[in-house]
Amino acid sequence: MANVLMQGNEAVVEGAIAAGMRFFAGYPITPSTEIAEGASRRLPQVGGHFVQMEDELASMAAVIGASTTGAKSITATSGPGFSLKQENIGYACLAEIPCVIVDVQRCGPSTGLPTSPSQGDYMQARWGTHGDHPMIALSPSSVAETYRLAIRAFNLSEKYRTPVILLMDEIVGHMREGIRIPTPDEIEIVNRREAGNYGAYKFAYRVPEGKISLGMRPFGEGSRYNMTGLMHDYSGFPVNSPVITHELMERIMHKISDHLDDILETEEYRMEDAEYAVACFGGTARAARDAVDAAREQGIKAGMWRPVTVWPFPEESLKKAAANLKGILMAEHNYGQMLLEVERCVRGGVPIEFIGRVDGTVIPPSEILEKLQAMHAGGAEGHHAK
Amino acid sequence: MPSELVYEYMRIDHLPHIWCAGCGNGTLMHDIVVALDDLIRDKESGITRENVVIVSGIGCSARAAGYLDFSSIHTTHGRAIAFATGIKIANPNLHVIVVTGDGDCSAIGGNHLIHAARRNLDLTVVVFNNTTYGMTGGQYSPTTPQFDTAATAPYGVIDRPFNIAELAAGAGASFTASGDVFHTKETIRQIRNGILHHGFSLIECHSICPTYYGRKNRKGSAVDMLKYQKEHGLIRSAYDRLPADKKKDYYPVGSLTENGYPEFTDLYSYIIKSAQSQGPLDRSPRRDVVMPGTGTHLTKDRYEMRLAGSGGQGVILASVILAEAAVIEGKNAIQSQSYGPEARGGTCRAEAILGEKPLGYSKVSRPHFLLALTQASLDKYSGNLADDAFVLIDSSLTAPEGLTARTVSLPILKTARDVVGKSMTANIVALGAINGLLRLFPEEVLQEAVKRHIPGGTEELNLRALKEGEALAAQAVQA
Ligand SMILES: Cc1ncc(C[n+]2csc(CCOP(=O)(O)OP(=O)(O)O)c2C)c(N)n1
Ligand code: SF4
Repeated sequence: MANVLMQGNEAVVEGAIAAGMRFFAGYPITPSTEIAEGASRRLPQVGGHFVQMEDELASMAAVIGASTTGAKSITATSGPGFSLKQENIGYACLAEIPCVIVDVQRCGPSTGLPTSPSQGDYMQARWGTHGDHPMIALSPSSVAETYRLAIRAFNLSEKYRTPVILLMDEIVGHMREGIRIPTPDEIEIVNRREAGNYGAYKFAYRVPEGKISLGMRPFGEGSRYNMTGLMHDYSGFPVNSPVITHELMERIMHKISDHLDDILETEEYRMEDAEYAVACFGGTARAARDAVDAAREQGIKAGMWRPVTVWPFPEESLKKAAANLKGILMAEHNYGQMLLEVERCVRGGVPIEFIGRVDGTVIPPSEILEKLQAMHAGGAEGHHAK
Repeated sequence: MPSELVYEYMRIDHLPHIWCAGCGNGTLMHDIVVALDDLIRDKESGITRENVVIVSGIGCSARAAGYLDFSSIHTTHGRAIAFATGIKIANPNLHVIVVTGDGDCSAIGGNHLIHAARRNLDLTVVVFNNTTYGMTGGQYSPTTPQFDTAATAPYGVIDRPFNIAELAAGAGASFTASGDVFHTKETIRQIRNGILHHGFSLIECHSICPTYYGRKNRKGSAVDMLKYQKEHGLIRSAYDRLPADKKKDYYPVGSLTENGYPEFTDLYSYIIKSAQSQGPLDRSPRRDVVMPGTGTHLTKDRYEMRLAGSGGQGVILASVILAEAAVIEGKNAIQSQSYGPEARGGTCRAEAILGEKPLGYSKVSRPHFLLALTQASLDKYSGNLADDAFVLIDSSLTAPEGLTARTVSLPILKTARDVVGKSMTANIVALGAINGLLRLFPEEVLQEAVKRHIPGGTEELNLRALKEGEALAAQAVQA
């Protein structure tokens, strides 16, 4: 039962505040600006702080800084600004500072089509910052899901002490939809695991026995420790040691890859007996579901498989789904970025067709339906981006 | 005495530090410790061991953060002030001290420096200005004197240098001062005053890099460079008394500017107070509205509506209200609109899709309904309508030749202007007419939706506009 009409971008703000977000730093950019505007209005009402920084580099830095004081912090941007944030996103990965980065994808590269949808930052979300690093990214397909995933992004970020990307697209960011705001008791909130007050603390970067990730005492509350973007030892002090570097890298990578059951989420729509699956993410799912329904009406056993956690890629879920399929149709608003992941996982086991749109318009259900019909009739001719 | 402070305030297990012999950074770091020790002992200062945070960027100078036994964060090159901004705003009770190099704060981080100064956020920035990029091997920085040489200026630097203290003052810093390695007492005093100052403070400390700057520019040993500071650094009052032509041979040590501009977090606390006293401005979570007599008029699974006009006519708001009304009724709705150049001037397009069932695709492909308030928007959008489409146009427009859909033309704009008395209400008049013709929602539902989206104090006007629109439709239905 819906009771509020809300824009996707607005749902980010409301969901984040429900999750406990109390700090926003950002720089205006279409199509994410409503998030900054909403945060500037809403945060002071709940005693939080908003600041419009001089650019996206500064916004990302300020968000990390705010998080060290214990404030759940967020920034929001779009393509060009997402590129600028990357260096400091890597900092948050290595220094293990929880924060949430929203990227409302728009058509690029460069200034591109500022008001048009795209999903061209899928790979940037994973590999945008330099060096190997862990990454969690979530991608909503509706306003209600945006609200839910904004909360989940904070929960994962706090639980694993890592930055989490909410990878939106203009389709969802700019549309208004009815949603029912959950009551506080319906929402699960994960808070940062606190560490004790140890004065001069030598073990701020050692995970206690039996815990998934580090606790964190906010700056200013007694424990004195160092954080750095250099490879560091348990005390957070820079080191050059290959042994310590290896151990640190293993730990930050495995804290994510060892907990996929908790982190991964997928949506399967009419997949029970499906022979053909549309694979997609984010706003594309809306047309995909319509196309699946239309195909079913024509006797084509179609379904939709959609990663909600888009990074790490839900590999096992796809492999399991693919085992019963005669074909996969990957539909996304880019030249085939998630397609690479799908191909990697399926490894030639199932024929893969592709719809990729990069012209700033939205893939309509009719285009997906036509492709499904061709696949069903055995007439699809291999994939190419258009 | 100094060694005691080292034990008290430094992470001695990480000493000796990485700096070269003769480097000025050690002395400057010690100056910070002395200033802090003095403030921490002074119970009046409010500064404690626990509420100080040291923030640094990347560079030789930036390594100071790791040696100082306070909460410390060694960040990325150029961004220390931006990290510090987040720390201070999120917890205004902390005393945030930034240790930064000339490159870190005035080249890659120059933008953050001037903006933090402009905001007058209560940070204390201590610049270790060695006029070079020490960490990367002596390339020129924005403070390298003109015509000196550097690893990337073998023929001499042709850029003109910044004076960082003056740059910060010009950008609005409410406390600026300078110090150096030799004049310890005055430098400590300025750092101390800067930390105490409530607002953005910057202390530019001339450091010494014998390894790169000194060697490349034949400045002699570290001792020679220190001697240079002794002879050329003048306490501010003495410097100010120098005749103008002599000034270029000396540099001042001491306070440059100090004023009492309001501080950022203080001002923000007023914003919090006023936002909270106004009560929740937010529209959510909102009460569940159960409308009386909710008989549904909306029967299609997916009913696509397009509203078009010129920018400023309010068609976007009208589409939002339609979608809101559907939501109030417990139906599904998607609203979207044109953005960017298309939404400024020219024609403006807004869409609402309403339906009994959950809605998928978010775009209108073949509208069941079109509202056009301008000729341009009618001409542009009257093609590609659904087979059973219905078109409502303002009576000032002429339907294009090929338009076969049922079309009703009503004096929407005129009614808003002459009857309601405000042209601005044309969108609400149109809504009344739409609902009168299509019977989408019970009247109270539409009224509630209108109320949710209009500015306070305009309720009477807008509800009147809605009624007039309905009246127009009633006449048309009878005719
Ligand atoms: C984004 C980025 N660009 C370049 C560098 C390389 N780098 C590290 S320190 C530094 C210059 C430091 O100079 P300064 O801030 O004056 O400090 P100093 O080492 O002289 O104390 C540079 C260019 C970097 N770490 N990150
Ligand atoms: S390179 Fe220069 S600034 Fe860096 S530690 Fe050596 S002397 Fe100091």
